Parts: sequence; structure tokens; C-alpha cells
Amino acid sequence: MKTLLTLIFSLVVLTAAAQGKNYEAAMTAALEKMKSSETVANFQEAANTFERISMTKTKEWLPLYYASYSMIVVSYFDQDINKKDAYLDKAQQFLDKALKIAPVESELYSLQAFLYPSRITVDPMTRGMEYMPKMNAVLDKAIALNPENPRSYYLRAITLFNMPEQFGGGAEVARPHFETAKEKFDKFEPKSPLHPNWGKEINEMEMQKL
Amino acid sequence: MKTRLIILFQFLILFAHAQVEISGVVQSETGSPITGVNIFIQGTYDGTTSDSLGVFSFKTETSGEQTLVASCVGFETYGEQLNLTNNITDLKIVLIEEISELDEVIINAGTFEASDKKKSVVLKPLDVALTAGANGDIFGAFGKLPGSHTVGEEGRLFVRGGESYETKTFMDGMLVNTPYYSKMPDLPTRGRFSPILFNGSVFSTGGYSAEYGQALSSIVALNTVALEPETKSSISVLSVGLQGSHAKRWENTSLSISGEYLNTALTNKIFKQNVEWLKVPVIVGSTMLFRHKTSETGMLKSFASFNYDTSSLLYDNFEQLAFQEISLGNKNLYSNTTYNEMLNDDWMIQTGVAVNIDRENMDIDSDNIATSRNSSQLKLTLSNYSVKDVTTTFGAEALIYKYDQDIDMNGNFNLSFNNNLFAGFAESEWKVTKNFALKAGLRTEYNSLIKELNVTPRFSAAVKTGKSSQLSAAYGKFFQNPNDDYLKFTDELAPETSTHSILTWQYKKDSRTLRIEAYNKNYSDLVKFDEEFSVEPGNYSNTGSGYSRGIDVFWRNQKQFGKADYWISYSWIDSKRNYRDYPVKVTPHYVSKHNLSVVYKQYFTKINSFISGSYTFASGRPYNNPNTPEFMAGKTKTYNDLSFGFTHLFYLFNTQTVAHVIVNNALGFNNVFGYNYAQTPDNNGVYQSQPIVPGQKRLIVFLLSFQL
Repeated sequence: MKTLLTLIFSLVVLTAAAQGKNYEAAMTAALEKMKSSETVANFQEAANTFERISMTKTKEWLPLYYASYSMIVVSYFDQDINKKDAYLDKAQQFLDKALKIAPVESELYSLQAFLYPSRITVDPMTRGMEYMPKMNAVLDKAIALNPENPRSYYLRAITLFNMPEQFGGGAEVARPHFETAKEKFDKFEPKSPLHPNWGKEINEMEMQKL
Repeated sequence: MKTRLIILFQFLILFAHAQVEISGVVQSETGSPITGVNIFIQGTYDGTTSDSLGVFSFKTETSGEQTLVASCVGFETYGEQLNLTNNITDLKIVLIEEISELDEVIINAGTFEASDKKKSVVLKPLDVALTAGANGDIFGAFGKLPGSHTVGEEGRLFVRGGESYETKTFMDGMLVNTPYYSKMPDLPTRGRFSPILFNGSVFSTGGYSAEYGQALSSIVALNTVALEPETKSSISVLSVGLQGSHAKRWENTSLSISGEYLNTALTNKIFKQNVEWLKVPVIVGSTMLFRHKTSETGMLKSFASFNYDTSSLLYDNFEQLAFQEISLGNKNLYSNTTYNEMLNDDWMIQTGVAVNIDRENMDIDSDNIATSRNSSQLKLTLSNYSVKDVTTTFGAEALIYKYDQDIDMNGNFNLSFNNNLFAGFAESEWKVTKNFALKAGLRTEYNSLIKELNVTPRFSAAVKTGKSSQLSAAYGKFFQNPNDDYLKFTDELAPETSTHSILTWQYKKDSRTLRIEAYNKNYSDLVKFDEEFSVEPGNYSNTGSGYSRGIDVFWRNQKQFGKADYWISYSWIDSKRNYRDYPVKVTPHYVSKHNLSVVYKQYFTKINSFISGSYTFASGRPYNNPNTPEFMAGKTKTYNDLSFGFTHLFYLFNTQTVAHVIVNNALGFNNVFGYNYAQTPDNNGVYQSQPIVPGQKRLIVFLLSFQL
């Protein structure tokens, strides 16, 4: 009897542990790959890997976050305007799913603000007017949910930096936002090695251009 | 010991799965490799991404019956049952291309749509607002599309040989009974509503949906913006007045108000007027938009506008060889409230109420004509999506209309009538296959004044003729009550009718669109009379008839942002009718056989400027010369217009500023719209004439707008 109980108990624990390990190991490996990605194909592959993980781990927002992130990067890379929207639709699907799981996660709103500018590049005349206010709204929300999330400040800074002065952008307008982002990046500690932790280097690179 | 053994055994079970390798290639239907496809065993992490040759290979520890999934953006997701006992090699997966909105068959015969959301459209709302020569007027912009004629002294839309009253305007599905400002004789008017109120519009030149009735030729359906994106204000200073607006946004609600004061005193001084103004035109207007998002799919919209226009001029009435002092004053209130919501997955409700009060006062010397047109409308529409690929819409509406005219002209006269119109419609669209769609509808109307009940059918269909091209056809019968100008004298008239047959071929690939449309429109029961303005009911009858047939061509090349974008629109029309007091069937005075518009736009990112230009050509229009025996045999010279718009964005006093200049008829063509002839011949037996010309040769308007 005792043996049987031990058997059942250890089986349950082992399976759970193995699965947990599996998730972390899979995520870690996928993150490593994503970080070393350089081409559209690399990022597409990363997005695919995270998508696979997300389908098994339906309660985790992180795989969806990275699947969406990789897809957004693909959309920035690809110059084919007709395809851009298709990638972004997919990225938005991942993001929407993630928001259902973690509706008050600041990182997800930041990511939304990373997605919108790519939409604008498809048709700046028409979409700029539509998406700029939306972008500001999600960044405000991201900052409200977690003022220490440095990516919100970086995304605001880079958008302002790339916007012509005539539309209220430019280096001088962007500078204080880059500086805040830098402060926040310096202090930032991700909750776990799997949590979002990108942007510090690019923030500093962009600051060089000011 | 025994326990340890068991644990060890379990480890073996857990980790000693045999690995199976799956490899193959992913291809499209045409056999070309697909890169970036996500291939995996459902429910596991095991999978991979296809390489640039479509080749993939991965290992899995699962066994037995498993589902292999292949998914990729732009393709339908593929699933296959596999029995994983041995390695599977040389698997060939064929992915079917997803029908994107761009490639989908769409019924578009007779229809030009402008939208931000839909990718299948050929126009954007901004195109409507920024077309040079349109003066920021919606109807002016549609006037540069095929199917409409240039009728310079009217400013209204004339579509395919139809008079301007044959086009009806709708806002969020509700009728706008008086969409234009009041009009002085021989001078153009313009639309009351600013194009920036709308984020989508449909200009149909025929064969439209059963949802719309009481229009013989055409409909303009405008959709107002949803929630305002953000709280903002703007003030504009124009060479013709002032405009201001403020919008406030809450979480699910927005309210925006705007006001304008327009006065042409300054421009009338600068640009020589062909008209002797006694009181320059003044417009005072205000609008209010309230929006509330009631749920994920629900939207409550309320719109109200009030405007007032007044002007006075010395009119050279050549027919009567007299100068007349004409004063015009118009007050117009239009308001509608609509509510849309998905009731569940299958049903959508759209409902609305609209009220329009219009008072016009015209003084001609000591005579006075006061006209009031009041209408109220109720409408309810239900759409059903429960059958796959089929959308069925049905609805009902009631339109109550009161017309009242007081004439003080050698005595007092009152002409008035009430008409209650009740209508019901049903329409179903069926996407039979991805390449073939059908639509059929039926509309029935009852008019209380003329006691007429009628039923009209509408059919349309579209079939793909290639990956980027399609053929679309529409047929429909349309009824419209006789004009107020006849109904006020008699109710013993029947509705005028028209029948449209349209065939459209469209090619759309990447940035290029080519559209060729042929149509035939037959008119019957048009109102005829022996004498204009006669109070005798017997003077009027439904014995008129006519036809229009023609070919419309539209070409657009819309390059990427910052590149040139242009469209060319050409219409050829053959239209004749015998109506009003015409003795024979002739081409009416507002129809020109050839109409051409070239519209060009370009955004120069380096200088933050947007430049637009348009050239419009129309062949000569018929006019009646009483000195010749043949009726309506005269032909004016051709119409030419070259107009420009220049928009520059910059910072002024730390405020985002837009400077905008429009130049109409830059080259100063001397356009003639027709001739007015004296009613009686002079001493030599000759009827003298005077050309009808624009109010001014050139017009330049400046605008400086500050975004606060």
C-alpha cells in the first residue's frame, strides 16, 4: 500500500517537475535564440517557437509576449506593405491573448506601443492620425500600471525622436524621455530571467544620435 | 530498496521515449516553397520552422496518433493525423493561400467607396478631404469621380444624365433631406457638412442596395467618425472667415463641438466678381457630435448641426430684361441619433431617428417666397449572420415630410403638402464561393400623398476573373416621388422611375486600380408640363421618359507614402430625355458628353508639405437658342479648370500649425456654363443672349489652422 502511494505521489511530482523544467528550458532556449536573431527568418523562427510554447502553456503570458514581439520585429523588417498588416494582425492576436491572461501587465501595453508605429508605416498619412493618440493612450496606461517599466519611456522617446519637429517630435523633445528611460533601465531588475528585459542597449545607442 | 527501484523505473518511463524524426517540405498550391511555416505536433513544444526552401525536419518524443500542424501568416492552417512509430520522411505539405480581403470577390458595380478600414477600396477619406478643386466639399470631391458631370453653376452632384435631385444623401444610414446650402440663380452652392466629420463614404452611381430608396440616380452614404481619438482643440483663420473646434474624450464617450463664421467680403474685393453683391454671402454654422460606446460592439451616435446662410445680389434677369434685387436667407437644423449593436453572434441591430428643419426665405424685389421643408425619419435595420457566408438584412422606415410655401407676389398664396412614406426592405448577400457572390433585395414603399404602393427588385453579383480582377453586375428598379415643385401643385402624379443595368470590370493589383463600367439607365414616368409654375393640376403629367448610357473609366496609381499618387477619371455619356416642357427628346442642358478629371497628390516629407492638383475637362453642354428652330441645339465651348492645393505643416508660436492654400482655375479659363436668352425678341426679331459665367474667374483661399 505504502509502495503504491509512493509510486503515485512520486509520479505526479516528477511529471509536474519535468513539465515545469520543460517550460523553463524551452523558454530559455527560445529566448537565447531570439536574442541572437538577425534576420527575418530568425525572428520568424523565434515567433514560431514561442507560439508553440504558448499553445501548451495556455496560462502563461510570456510566450505570447515574445511571439508577438518577434512578429512585430518581422513586420518592421519586411518592406512589403501588403504583408506588414498580416504580420501585425498575427502579432495583435498574440498580444490580445496575452492581455486576457494578464490584463494589468504593464509590459503588454508597452508592447502594444511597439506594435502601433509599425501599423503607421503602412500608410502614414491616414494612420498617423489614428494611431498616434492610441499609442499615447497605451503608453500612459503602461506607465500607470508600472512606472518602473523602462520600455514605456524608451518607446515614447524613440517615437518622438523619429517624428518630424513639425508634428511635435524631434531630438530635443525626445531627450528627456531617453534620459528617464536610461535611469529606469539602470535600476531595472526583471522578475525572472524569462521576463522582458530588452531595450537598454538600443536606448543608449539612440541617445548617442541625439 | 524496492521503492527506489520503482522510482528509477519511472524515470526510465519518463525519459526513455523513443525519438521519431519528421521531415519534409512545405509548398504552396503552385508548388513554390513556403518559408517560415510553423510545423509542430499539436500539444507539444516539438516543432520547427521551414527554411528558405520550404524544407523542415524535427524530432519528437511523442508517439502514436498525433496531429501535425503547419501554420503560416497568409495561409490556411493545415492539420494532418500521423502515426508516430517510425521516422517519417519526405512529407509533402501543401498550404492553401488564405483569401485576404484584397483578393476576395466584392460586389461593387456602380459603387465607389472610401474607407480607412477596408483594404478593397480605391479611395481614402483623406482623398475626399484633400482633392484640389473640390474646395473641401464632399460633393465637389465626388464630382471628380467617373459618372458625375461638371455643372459649374450648380455645385451639386449630377450623376449619369440625372438631375441633382436624383441623388440622395445619407448620414449613418439616415436621410439628409437638405444637404446643400441655399442657392442663388446661376451661382453654385456647396455641401453643408465638412468632410472631416466622416471616416467612410460610399458614392454609388447606380444599382445600389434595397436599403435606399427615393433616389433615381445615385446615393451618397456618409459614415461619421466613431469616438474622437483624443481631447484636442483647433482654431482656424481663413481668408473667408473663422473656424474653431473642441473635442473631449473620456474612456467610452466623446463629445466634439465646432463652429464657423464665413464671410466672403475680403475675397470678393480681391477677386473681381462677375456678380454685383448687395450683401456678401455669410454662413454661420455649428455642429455637435456625441459618441458613446455602449459595449464591445455597441455604439450610440448623436449628431446635430445648425447653420444659417444669407446673401443678397443684384441679379441680371436677362429673360425678363430686368435687374432684380434677390435676397436669400436659409436656416437649417439637422440632427440624427443612431444606435448599433451586435445583439449576439448572429444578429446586429441598427436603429436611428433623424429630424431636419429647413426654412428658406427669398426676396425678389418686393416679392417674397418663404419655404419650409420639415422631415423626420425613423429607421430600424436588423442583420443576420447565422448562415455561413450569407448576410441577410431587413428593415423598415417611416419618413414624415411637410412642405409649406408662402408666396407674396401680387397677392398671397400658400402651397403646401404632407407626405408620409413607409418603406420596408430585405436583402441577402451570399458568398457562394470565394470567387462568386450574389445579392438580391426587394424594397417596398407606400406614399400617403400620391397613394402609391410599389415594389422594386435589386440584384447584383460579382465573379473573380483572375487573382486581381473581377466582373460585377447590378440591376435594379428605382422610384422617386416627383419634385416638391410639382407636388405642391398636384398630388395626382405617380413616382418617376428608372431602371439601371451596370457591368463593371475591375483590376486591382498592389497600388494600381483600373475600373471600367458600362451602364444603361432608362427613365419613365418623368414629370412633364406645358407651363412652368402653373397652378393647374392638369398641367402636369407623368408622360416624360429618357435614357442614359455610357462608359466610365477610372485609373489610379497610388504609390507608397511620399510618392506621387494620381487618378484619372473619364466618363462618356449619351443621354436624352423628354421631360418638363421639352417638345422633343434631347440631351438636357446639364449633360456634357465627355468628362475628364485628373487628380494628383504628393506628400513631400522633407518639406512637410502636401501638394495636390486637379485638371477637369468637360465637353460643351447643350443650350437652347430660340433664334434657331431646333430645340436645345446650341453647344457651349468646352469647360477647363486647373486647380491646386498646397498644405504645409510647421510650428508657429510653439503650436502645431497647418497652412493651406487653394487656387481654383489657376490658368483663368473663361468658362461658360450656358446662355440666358431674352423671352421676347428685340426690334430686329433676334432673341438677345447673355452667357452664364462663374461668380469669379479665379479664387484663392488661405487657411491657417492651429492645433491647440
